[in-house]
Amino acid sequence: MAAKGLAVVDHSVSERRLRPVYECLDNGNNKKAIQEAEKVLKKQPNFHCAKVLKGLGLLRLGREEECEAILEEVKKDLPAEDTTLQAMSICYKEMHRFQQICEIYEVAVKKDPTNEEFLSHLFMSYVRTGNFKKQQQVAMNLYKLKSKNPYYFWAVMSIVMQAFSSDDSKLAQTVSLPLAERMVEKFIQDGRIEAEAEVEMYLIILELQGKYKEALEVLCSPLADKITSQSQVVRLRRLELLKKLNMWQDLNCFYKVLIKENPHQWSFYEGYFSSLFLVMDMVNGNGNVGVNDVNHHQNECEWNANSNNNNMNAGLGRMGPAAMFDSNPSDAFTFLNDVLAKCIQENMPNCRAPYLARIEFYRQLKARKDFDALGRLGKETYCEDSSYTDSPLDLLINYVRNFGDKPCLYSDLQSYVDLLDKEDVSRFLGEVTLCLEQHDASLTIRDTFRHQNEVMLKRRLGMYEDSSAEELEELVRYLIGFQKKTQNLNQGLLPTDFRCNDYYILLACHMLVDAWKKTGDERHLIRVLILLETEVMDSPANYQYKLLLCQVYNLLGESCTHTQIPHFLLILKKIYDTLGAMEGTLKWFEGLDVKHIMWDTVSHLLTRHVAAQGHFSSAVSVFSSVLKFFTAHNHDSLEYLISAYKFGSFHKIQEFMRFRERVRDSHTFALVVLENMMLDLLLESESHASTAQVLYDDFLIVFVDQLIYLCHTLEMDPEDESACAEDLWDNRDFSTMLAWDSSHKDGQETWQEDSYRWEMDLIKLRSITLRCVLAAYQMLEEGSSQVQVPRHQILQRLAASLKTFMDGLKTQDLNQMVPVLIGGFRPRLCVFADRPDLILSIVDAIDCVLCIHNHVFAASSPDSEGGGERNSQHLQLDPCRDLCMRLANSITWVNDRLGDPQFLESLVFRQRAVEELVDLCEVLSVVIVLCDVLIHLLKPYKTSLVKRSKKRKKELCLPPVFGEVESHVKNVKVEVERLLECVGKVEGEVLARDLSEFLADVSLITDNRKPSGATQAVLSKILNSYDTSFKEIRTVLQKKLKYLSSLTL
Amino acid sequence: MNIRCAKMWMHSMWEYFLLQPEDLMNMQHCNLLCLPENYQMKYYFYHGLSWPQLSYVAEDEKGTIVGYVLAKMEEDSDDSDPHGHITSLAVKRSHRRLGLAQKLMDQTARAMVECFNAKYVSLHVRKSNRAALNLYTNTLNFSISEIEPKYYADGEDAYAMRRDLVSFAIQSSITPADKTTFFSVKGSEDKKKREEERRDYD
Repeated sequence: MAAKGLAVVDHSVSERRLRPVYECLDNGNNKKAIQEAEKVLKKQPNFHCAKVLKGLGLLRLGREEECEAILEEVKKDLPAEDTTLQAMSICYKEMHRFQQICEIYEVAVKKDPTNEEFLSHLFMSYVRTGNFKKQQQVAMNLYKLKSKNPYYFWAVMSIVMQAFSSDDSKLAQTVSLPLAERMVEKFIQDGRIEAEAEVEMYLIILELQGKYKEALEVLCSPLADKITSQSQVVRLRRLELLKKLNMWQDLNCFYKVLIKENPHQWSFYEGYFSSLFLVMDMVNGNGNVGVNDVNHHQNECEWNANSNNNNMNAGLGRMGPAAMFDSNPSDAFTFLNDVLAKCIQENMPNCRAPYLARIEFYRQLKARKDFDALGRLGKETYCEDSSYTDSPLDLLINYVRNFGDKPCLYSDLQSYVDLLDKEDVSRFLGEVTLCLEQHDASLTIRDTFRHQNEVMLKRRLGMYEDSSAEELEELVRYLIGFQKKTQNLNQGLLPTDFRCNDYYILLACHMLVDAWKKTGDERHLIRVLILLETEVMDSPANYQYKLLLCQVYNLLGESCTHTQIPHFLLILKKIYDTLGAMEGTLKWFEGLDVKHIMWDTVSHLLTRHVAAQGHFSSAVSVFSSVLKFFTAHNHDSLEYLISAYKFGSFHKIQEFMRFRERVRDSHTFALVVLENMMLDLLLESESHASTAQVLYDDFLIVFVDQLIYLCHTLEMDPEDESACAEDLWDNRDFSTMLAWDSSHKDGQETWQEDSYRWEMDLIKLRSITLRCVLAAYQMLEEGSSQVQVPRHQILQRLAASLKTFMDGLKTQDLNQMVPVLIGGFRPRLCVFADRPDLILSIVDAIDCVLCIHNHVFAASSPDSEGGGERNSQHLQLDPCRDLCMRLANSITWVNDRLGDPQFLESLVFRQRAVEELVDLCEVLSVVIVLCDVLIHLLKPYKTSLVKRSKKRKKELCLPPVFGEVESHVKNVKVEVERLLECVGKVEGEVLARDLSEFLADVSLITDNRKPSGATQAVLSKILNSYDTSFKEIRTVLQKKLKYLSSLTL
Repeated sequence: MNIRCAKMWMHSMWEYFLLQPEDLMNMQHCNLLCLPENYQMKYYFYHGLSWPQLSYVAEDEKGTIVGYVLAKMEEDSDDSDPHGHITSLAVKRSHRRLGLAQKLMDQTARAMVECFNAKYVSLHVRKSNRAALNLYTNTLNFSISEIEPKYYADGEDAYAMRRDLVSFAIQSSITPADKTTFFSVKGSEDKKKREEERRDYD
């Protein structure tokens, strides 16, 4: 008793002493925390927890090694005290060393096997490391210790996770899942099921085994009452099971009941239609079982609470009144009209679904080519108005009449307007327009929505496609006029509110972009920029402005940066992109305030352009933000799984794991990792030593430490054969940006799919190239490190795959791609496909390396003693000559592009030429590293020759290979000098030229005012952007020249 | 329009729409498009993994998310009635005035009562956000319970608001998780609790 009392006192004293340390840590005052911890340690020198907390303070000050030392020391004492262990866990978590947490709790549990706390921490530590087997063991130990249900189900879930993550689906189906099922069944038989989560668990197990019938039985049994809530939820889940069991008639009845109860819910209509069509197919004899079924049921399903569970239909129970299933289109029309009539009767003015459902039904019939039913469609009458017939035109007009002034109208009807015949289109639009003109005198907010919807629909229906540039300009004037006219409606709005008339501006911008596409007149793009730059000030919350800004600046190859604001931004960005004005792009991208998951979904707006436009230092920071997000996600997201176990939300665990994988295996992540390495090589490799650092520190460490998961995909180990995974997740979201193009949706879909393929190819190209560099460099150290396969063999193989890759690259595929504002622009791969010389010069450079390697190897091998000189006579250095020729070609080509008159006249041309220049620089930086390898392969050979000549006291006579290689390096240097000179010349011309010719006639958008501040801002952004591009490119080339000068024998 | 429980991933069993990207991504986008606030990912995870019953999304016919409510139960309810809290409610601008907010809020309120016996639901709103304040007061039956000075990081005050769920449950005939405690008045519940405790000691 006494001892126990003492311990308690001791504990509370320690707790009191540590309190200030914890407080300082919580407040982020780490220095003070360390001091406080040291104070405690003076009194109690062996106080583990105080030591660890001191370590935590050190860690948070960036002194990881000191923290590590403290943890190692404490770990040796095998602590088994809760607060110490928790503090250690925090340290390990912050260092991302989850395995260590398992270890310390394993020790603690060994010491104190009945400590529930320790066991549960141990369980969670295995959750973090994904060790499902050990999870299961610990959970069972916990259950044996305290027979609490959650522990038992932790064990069950751990078994399910083993099945879920196992590659061996047979094992999962025959061993793991049946075991889990038996474990739960045992509990059910003993009547020990307590919670909702436990029933959920049972359902998960049954479903994973495809036992849908059994699952449905569970949902119809008293066990379903445990799913406390949500009578709704149970019903929906039954529904899904019925689908799995192909019980379409029952489903159809079920959906009818649900729609009556909740006419808003669109998914019910979808379910209703799909079940209806399946029932119809059965009736029509497409399913032979079905016919009998229909007769047997006589179109009736009983929904009866008092049924027994063997009868599946009845088992659905508690559904309300008996319902009939529908088996032909005319039943369906009647049903849909009834639903709508009821909605109208009950005065539900916002209920859009029943209206849309009738249009959707028409669309589906048409898609099924059910002309019979379509023919009858016109004869169905609607409500009391017998003159009203339900053709798609009528349905759509009716929809516009009811919801024409809602901003959601366009997105509602977008896909349905395609149902209209050509002659109907004008009648439909006539109806839409008519609606506006009744209110034209003084416009209300609703009128503006209606009017903007009208213009959007017209654009969607292709009404402006044949307009001339002049007509489009007129339209722009008209839209801007309306925007000005309706400015009074925006009074009293918060800065975070959108304005009701913003769409006028967006539409005007799209029209201007169309005008540019038609005429190639880039003044239209500049107008878009000026318009948006002005409007963004007034509507700072409109992210569409920002998105557009980013895109346009990208078009111009600029980079931009601004506070707040997103609709306008997107457009602005796109245009800056097109014009290669990265300054603009960067600015507006910052304005989009991208964070968290958006680094995955929208960062492509920037990551694909910034380095390609020569804004290298911005690229470094953008890439690092992207990579930071992904690394943090990979490490931290496991932490949240723990709360799913704690709260028993088992069904979320699998969802979550898949989500984790989706982000982890994002192709944006893979691409940015590789682009970042390429950039590193471009910027940092400027001497033999710095190249080594780039290759070993940056490449390898990044891979070992951060990218464990991607290793299989991008394996930087040159030995790895699996060059590149075929599939990664494409998480880019192109739907954020609005457009109202006629074929917009299809175009966007194929754009996304195509560009994904190209980017995967780029990933492949980058991956092979970088591995070549690494393998070549590793040849220099072959003596010192143990490698399984000699590096030169790997290099040979990689060079071959690089060649194969280039052979497979189809130029025409890439050039067919149409630039769409909503997606992106010319993929980077294009340049490499158009100019195969670029990549082939890398292949040549590799051949040089291999050639010299073989030569040196042959010359210095013991049996060719003395024959080295003779050998070298026969040395063929063709690859060197090829390389220089190719480089000269490429440089001449880029030179021509930069010297082309268009380079000064067209900003879009300029954007492309700058990208080509950057690509050439990248290739040069790889070639130069390979030159470095050449020189360093020969160096030891030279030393040995010198030694030998000293020994033999003969005068040293170097074989011709030395001279040849040196002159080869010199040739490369000459080419780089030529490029640098050309860049300097163009830079001067670009910066000397003002852009006033692009400013002619801004009156179209600025109300005849003289060029405003926004105009100046746009111009200076574009000019600054080129300034930055050329400066950075010049710096890189100068560095490379220095590097080449240092490469002597 | 659809209202459904938020999903971290489309489980093959429960998918209503093919090809729909998972919700978390969409929710963040929705937030980007609707609100100046943008919570960290861990916040979404925390809600989604701890109280998956309480968060709902609204999606349009194409499966695009146009609104969501992120809600949780207050954990420190030892001394007070169990209650829910709305962390975030968002409806895309183009889909406002269609009654979506009300549907989302009713759905989560129902789940709070049915699953967790919540007697009321609380939320915070910026003092300057008159539109939201209007919505909460006039449409969603919330009332201001107090003012919390400097609640937001930028120094703005917040109104703390509450909606009574007992009357909501009676009105909409919702069965609470535990009828006895749900319908009992505060005083009597305390008394009962004390009695139970005494019995435990005996």
